[in-house]
Amino acid sequence: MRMIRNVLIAILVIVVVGVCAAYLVVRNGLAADQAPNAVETAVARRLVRLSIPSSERALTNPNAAQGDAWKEGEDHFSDHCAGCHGSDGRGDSEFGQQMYPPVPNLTSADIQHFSDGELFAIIQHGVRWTGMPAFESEHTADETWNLVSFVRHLPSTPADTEHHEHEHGHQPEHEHTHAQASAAGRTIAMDGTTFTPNELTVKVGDTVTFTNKDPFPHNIASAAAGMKSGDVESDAQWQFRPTKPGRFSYVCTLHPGMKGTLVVQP
Amino acid sequence: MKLQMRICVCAGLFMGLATMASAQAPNDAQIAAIVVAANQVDIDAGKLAETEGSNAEVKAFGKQMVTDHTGVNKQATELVTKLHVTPEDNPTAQSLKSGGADNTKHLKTLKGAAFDKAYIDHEVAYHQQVLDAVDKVLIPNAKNDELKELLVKVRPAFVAHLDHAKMVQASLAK
Repeated sequence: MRMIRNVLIAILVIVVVGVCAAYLVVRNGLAADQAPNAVETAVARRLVRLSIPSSERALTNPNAAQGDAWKEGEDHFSDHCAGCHGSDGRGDSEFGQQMYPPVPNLTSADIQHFSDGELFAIIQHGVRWTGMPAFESEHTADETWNLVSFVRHLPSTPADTEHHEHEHGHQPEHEHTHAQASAAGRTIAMDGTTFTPNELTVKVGDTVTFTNKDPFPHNIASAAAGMKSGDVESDAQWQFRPTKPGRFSYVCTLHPGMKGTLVVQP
Repeated sequence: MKLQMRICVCAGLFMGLATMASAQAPNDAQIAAIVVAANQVDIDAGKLAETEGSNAEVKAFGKQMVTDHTGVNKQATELVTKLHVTPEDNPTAQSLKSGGADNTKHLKTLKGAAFDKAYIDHEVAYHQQVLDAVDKVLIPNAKNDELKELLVKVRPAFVAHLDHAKMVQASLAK
């Protein structure tokens, strides 16, 4: 009895979805010059994730511990991906927003919410009915994992604002000096297995730079703040751009007791 | 047999560090040799844990010990080169080295969980005793400011290693 009921419900759902889809096509055609609405975007993203086999979804990035893997991914990204995704991954490229669906902002929470394995699968196999090609014949798995590292690194990089310059060209000089003046105030040293200053107050969107002055790697991690640096080698830096206000304590998971606090003002 | 071996290793370690504490105040060249030996002992044990450890946390800890202590040794070597100090071998450095060799020899006879436990127990004891030596012998006796600074700077990392080793030890005991 129950099985018959489930089959009927399934058929009903398929018919309703089909009718809705047909209605949308008849009404709007198949042109690409409209943006998909929020429901369509959410359903499509959900379907993309569901279509990835759980064995791939559960994969973890074998290069995650290499602090500089993202740099190799970055070179590749700027050659092959930036054309559509934009060099800063925000999707604000020449074609990015004219496609259907438009190229997503890779730094957004929606995309960062994908697992490493899901990002890997999308780069390898592409996404049907979107502009995302499959790259498995072009990339080794290692290269693709470096790209995953780069996608994870993107939220901590500043947005590329070059194409907006003409809009407020009258004030860049002032902004420049402002940025230089306060850059020193947004640097945290990792020295003597201690974060210095131990507490720093910044604003949403500021770039915070962590510099490792110790002769061995450290990392910076806070689930609440969305901080996850991976290994930052000796003399290397890691940058983070807070996206939400709050008071966040972070740690180096390699050295228990090495803690700091980042206060992010709106 | 194994128990005897363990007692020997612990006794060796204890005697090495006891020598360090009771020996007359080491000079900077001797301190440099002690620092290098102390790091090297932990690098050797860490390398063994990376390959022979069975628990993932133990392997990761061993790998980190290799990375961190290699980094410290590199900086120590750069400093003594800059200061034109030649590390001078001494009984403390020697007993650290022979204690380390005894430990790795003992660890090589063990497998699986027994290896993990013996390695991490030794790491806890070793970091505790090295920290004592850093505080009571090495820092107070270092004459050169830069050498003293280096010891002060790396000390918190050894505290973190000790805490980390205790965490791994506790999780193995579960």
